[in-house]
Amino acid sequence: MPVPKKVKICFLAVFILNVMMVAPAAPAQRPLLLTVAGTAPEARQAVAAAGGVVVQELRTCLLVTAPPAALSRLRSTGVRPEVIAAPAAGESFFLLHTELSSPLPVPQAGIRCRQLEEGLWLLQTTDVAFRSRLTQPYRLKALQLGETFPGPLDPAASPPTASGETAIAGTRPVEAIPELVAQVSAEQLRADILALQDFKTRFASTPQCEAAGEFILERFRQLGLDALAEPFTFEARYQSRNILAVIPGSVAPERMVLACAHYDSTSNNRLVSAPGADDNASGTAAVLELARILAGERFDFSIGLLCVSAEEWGLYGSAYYARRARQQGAGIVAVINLDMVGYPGDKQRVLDVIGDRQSEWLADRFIAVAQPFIGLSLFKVINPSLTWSDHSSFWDQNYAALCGIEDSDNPYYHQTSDTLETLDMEFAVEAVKASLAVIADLAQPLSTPAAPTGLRARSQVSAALFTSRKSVYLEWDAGRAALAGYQVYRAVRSHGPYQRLTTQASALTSFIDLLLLPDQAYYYVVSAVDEQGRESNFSAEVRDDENN
Amino acid sequence: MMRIISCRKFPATALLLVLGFLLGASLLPAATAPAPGAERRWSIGIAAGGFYPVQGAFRSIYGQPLWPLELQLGWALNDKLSLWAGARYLQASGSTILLQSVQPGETYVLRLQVLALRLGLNYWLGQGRIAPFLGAGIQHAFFREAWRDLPIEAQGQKTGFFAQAGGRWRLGRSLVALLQMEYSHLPGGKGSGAEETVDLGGLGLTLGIRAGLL
Repeated sequence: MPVPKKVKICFLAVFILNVMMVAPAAPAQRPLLLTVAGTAPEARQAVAAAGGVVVQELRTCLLVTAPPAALSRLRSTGVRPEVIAAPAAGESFFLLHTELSSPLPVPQAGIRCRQLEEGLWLLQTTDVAFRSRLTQPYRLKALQLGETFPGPLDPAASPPTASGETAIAGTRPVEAIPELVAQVSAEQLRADILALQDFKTRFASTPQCEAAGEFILERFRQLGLDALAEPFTFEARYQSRNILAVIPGSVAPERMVLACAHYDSTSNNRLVSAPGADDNASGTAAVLELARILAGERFDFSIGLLCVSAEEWGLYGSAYYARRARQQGAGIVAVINLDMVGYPGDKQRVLDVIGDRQSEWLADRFIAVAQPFIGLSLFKVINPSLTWSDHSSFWDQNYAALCGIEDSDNPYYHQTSDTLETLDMEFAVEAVKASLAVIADLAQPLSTPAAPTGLRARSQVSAALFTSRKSVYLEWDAGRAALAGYQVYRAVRSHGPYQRLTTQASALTSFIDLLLLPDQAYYYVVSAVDEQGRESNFSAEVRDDENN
Repeated sequence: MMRIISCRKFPATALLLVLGFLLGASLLPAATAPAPGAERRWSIGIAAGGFYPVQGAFRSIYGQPLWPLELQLGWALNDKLSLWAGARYLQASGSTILLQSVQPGETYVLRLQVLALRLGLNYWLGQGRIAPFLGAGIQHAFFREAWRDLPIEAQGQKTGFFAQAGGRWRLGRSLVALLQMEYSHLPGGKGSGAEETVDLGGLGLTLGIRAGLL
């Protein structure tokens, strides 16, 4: 009997449905690694709106992870995404800095390099031992593709020029700083560099590196500082430790100025000999010298002294510390990272001060405060692509950070010949003096009267249809001493320059700042004035919406 | 294009334009007078009614309904179509709203003025004493929003459209009453944050009267 046509169609439909039901589901689409040209806030907003995450800001572009579907959304907003990789399980990504024309002597299986900018490469690898196949010298930063970084703050605008207000520089003369700077000792620096060099190698993951960490921890404790070692795991199988000491602040201990250096080293024979005198026993010794001089002093804000490990592997120690600091809401005001401060080379004695856009205020402050105390030239460099040292880990977490580094090409860099004999201790002393002056200035030696505490700011926006204005409500705690009143200062850039808003000291512990531009961030500090007319240090700075 | 200004030129420019337009239009009928006995081709009218802004922030800031006033000059092209030109003026007082409130009670008094020059075409669906119509047109509006006692002001001009439906009731040979509903769209440009972009349009219900001229 012939099968009716309708029955055939029914069978066919049921068959197709069954095939569709048993067919494996399409695999979830892996996120892509993209570059997005430009670094303007609009590009970041477009990335976020398309479901992407900025993992690294560079000088000319953003490095972004995003689902494939985000590509068309990004293009529709006018940005120009370019797919550079489709990260797979087991693959690692690094930013690699090298002066060479290619990081690889010859093409290597399991390693892919793509040039992002001049001297900057994206390295993609499944080989855990890839480092031995790269051409020295190079500098690495491991990219954490699964993370969401806070990203930089909005660019600061020019300060308003309202009449009747007094422009105040971000820095204030602090009498105690010259005395502190005068205590920097070349002998002590030399002894500490030698002690670190004597560990033979401080390549992270080696026992000698851990012993160097123990040495630093013990030195901090000998100075009477509250110090601890924070262990962390990197590349899934290695362990090392960050060493941290804190000089607690007397007025606002939750605010911290951080001096930082990596104590691990590397070389062309790293498991046996990596003295790393310049890179970076010099920076580590600088932090130890800062600890020695500052340990007995009292400041408004806390001073952190941090020696991190596994920098040479890809900034793992600082990334671990900075990430945890952000998660815990640590109030890090500024980070001064010292990396290679002992080899001035043939050039004029120049110390580069490297920051990103949001750290420019810190670079300006560094130069303004430190220059009078030193015989070096300070050279400001604002370039977010300079990610090769630990300051970059703090940039990622939205902290203001800069790197102080010699402006020279050390021929012994990452060599077994990077030893104390090649260093210029006078240069190192000057670099430490500069850092000491800035850290003391930022942490503020105690003043009389004491700086006000508990400054809080809340802001609200009043809107019409076409225009709006912001109002900022400030409050702070009343001082214990007999005071004439308080002065209120405002800046449009973090850490000034500040403009005084009060015409005379007011006894009130609150202030309302009205009719401000709604899209501009404002920063406030207050000072106390005693009955003799003496003005205190500034309070800890707050952003206008910090307590909303 | 919208710009923030500090002077108070508005609505002098716009008023001059309106006066010029109405003067010119009033002279035109003399040249196009209808034959004796024909229905009057030219008319002048006035309309007023309630206006309900389409945007929530507009309503929150200035309340609702608002009360615009409109002057119109009409020209019957034939039995089915009539063209009209007019000027609609809206003035409202309001107060700012808080976008992120931490201190309730902080408000500022606002004043909004919108003068729209309008050109519309009506299609009459009947010829009787009572006749419905459909209409549509374009409008070019001059607007200004100012904060009272403060040098904060926004001013601009934008073009939009409107659509209408309503009916007339002929009261006599020269007098017609009009009742109409209207939807208007009038983009105002970038907003303050209360709205990303401002739409000064909305729904309107107006009652008007039109008198034949020639």
